[in-house]
Amino acid sequence: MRMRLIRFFMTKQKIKIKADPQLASLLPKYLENRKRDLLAFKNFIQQDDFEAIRKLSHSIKGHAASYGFKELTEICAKIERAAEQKNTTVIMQLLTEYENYINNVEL
Amino acid sequence: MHKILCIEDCEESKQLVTGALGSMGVNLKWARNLNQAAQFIEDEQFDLILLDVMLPDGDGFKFLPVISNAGHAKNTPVIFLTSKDSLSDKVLGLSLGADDYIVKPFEPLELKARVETRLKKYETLKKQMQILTKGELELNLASQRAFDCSSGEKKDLALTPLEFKILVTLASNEEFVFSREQLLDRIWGNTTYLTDRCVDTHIYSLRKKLGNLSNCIQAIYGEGYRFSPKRNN
Repeated sequence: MRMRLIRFFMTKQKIKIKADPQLASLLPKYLENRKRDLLAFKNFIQQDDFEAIRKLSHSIKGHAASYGFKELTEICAKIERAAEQKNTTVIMQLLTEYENYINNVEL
Repeated sequence: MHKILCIEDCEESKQLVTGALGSMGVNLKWARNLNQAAQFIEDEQFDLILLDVMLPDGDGFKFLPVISNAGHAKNTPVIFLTSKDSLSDKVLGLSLGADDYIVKPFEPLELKARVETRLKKYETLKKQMQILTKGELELNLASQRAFDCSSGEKKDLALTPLEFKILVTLASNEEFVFSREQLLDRIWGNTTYLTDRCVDTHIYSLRKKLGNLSNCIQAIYGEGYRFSPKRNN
């Protein structure tokens, strides 16, 4: 999985999602909501609201992979840990990864 | 149809659970927080509870004892469905008495399989215990005792064998109107000669012992009696 992410960042290829066919119709809305969450994350970090970052990343971690976004679950697990440690620098780096990922996903 | 209470606040997770369990033909009821869940558990009987841990108004781990202490829900299987994935969380959840612990993100097929297994085990347990639960009323067919669970504790109604038999007959045929003659045949058999007013006397005594739950036995004018447990609207 990590290799897939590294390859993506090196080649900037679109990331193809393998989702359950039953969930396919929900994916555009799902992705839209995660873009909305990115704005929320940025808002929380400006306010140093680590608890809100932890809760939101915990929630996304819990469902992203089931919708086919395994890397997003991985990134959010790291954001959750960084929020527990109140590590703004790491959170910012991970949010860049998050943003790159959702902007390059191909449904 | 099995009734499952899902205590979950996240819309995306709700969609996943609905997708995973929808094909099982179960009735899913959703509680967005623990307060709402507590109310549902008090009012209704469920065959399974899926419980998240991080909820807007509290911690699912702390809520498990609330379920275990609720009179009619204490045997209901509980599965934690949570993103809390550390070993210590899993051990805590199971040591608190949960029947299973599923980490999110989950595989829908795995969730379905685990839920099916729990429901089957619960059905077997109920059969072994020969317990018939109707609303807040619990009838133990093995010991021939009836309990009022409305206060959160089981209160023995101390029914006579005949009263118990009448109650089981009515409760096993929910919403069916029995005529007095039908009840006489079923309870006393057709070899004994009794007037149908004998049924009224026993029903009167039975309803008196049922106390707050007495309205679950309803008299239908000119027809007979039917059993209709407390409904949640």
